[in-house]
Amino acid sequence: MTDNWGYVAAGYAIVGSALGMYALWVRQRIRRLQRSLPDDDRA
Amino acid sequence: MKRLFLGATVLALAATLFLALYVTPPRENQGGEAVRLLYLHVPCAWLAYLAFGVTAVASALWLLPRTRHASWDLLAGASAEVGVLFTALMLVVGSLWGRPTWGTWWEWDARLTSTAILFFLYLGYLALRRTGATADERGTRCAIAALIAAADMPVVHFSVSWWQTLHQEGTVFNDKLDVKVNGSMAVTLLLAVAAFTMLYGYLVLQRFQLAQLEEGREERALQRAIEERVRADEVAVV
Repeated sequence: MTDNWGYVAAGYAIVGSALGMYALWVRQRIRRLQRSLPDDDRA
Repeated sequence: MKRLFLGATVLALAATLFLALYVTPPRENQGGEAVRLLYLHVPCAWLAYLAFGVTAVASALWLLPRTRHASWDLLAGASAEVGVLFTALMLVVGSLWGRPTWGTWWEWDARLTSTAILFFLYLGYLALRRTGATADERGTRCAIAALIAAADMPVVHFSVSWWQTLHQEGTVFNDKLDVKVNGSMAVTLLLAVAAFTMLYGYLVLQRFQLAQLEEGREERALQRAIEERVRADEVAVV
């Protein structure tokens, strides 16, 4: 049986980290904008 | 509600990971253990279709005067961005699977090439969304571009039937609707598609919310600038 676990590990690591980082990036930007909302209204 | 949905998504993804890495068997003719990349590659491909399909429908709804609403334009943009991410991942995972199975990272065959074109078309669409214009102009321009780009989707899907390709026929959606996996592989694939679809839903909702916040901020900034200008003009008159 061909052992190709290296490709599997790389695939799952890339997909997991890319999707996780994207979700965190979007969430962080939402929070930053939500925090700046009262400042905007005050100005 | 959103947290509950996110929790269910994470749970479904964890179950997929467990089944894909520990339960399903390897296949010698598909790269041995590398066949486990199927549970990433197929869901990513499905979500590329779904995401760009949603973009096309939302763009058409924006273009129709009766259904025109700013939300359609924002939804089209949000779905396209998530779709580009899934298309990029599909290409990367496909390449990782192709190396042990076909002996090459990349081949300029019809499926791979049309998918790469799809990726660059929607990358261009995202770039177009950032060009300076009013929200209306941008919406119309991008909606037309999205509908033109969507024409590549049937080419991608049917490329394996229309031309001789190194890429195999669809695992589930092929000409004869002959599902090429069964048993634990079929269950895992189905779960993977469901889990990734839930993740797509969550990401699009988040990206849509972000787009709404950004749009609101721009509108407020414009409103403030107009008010300041009016005040300045009034002072000048006095």
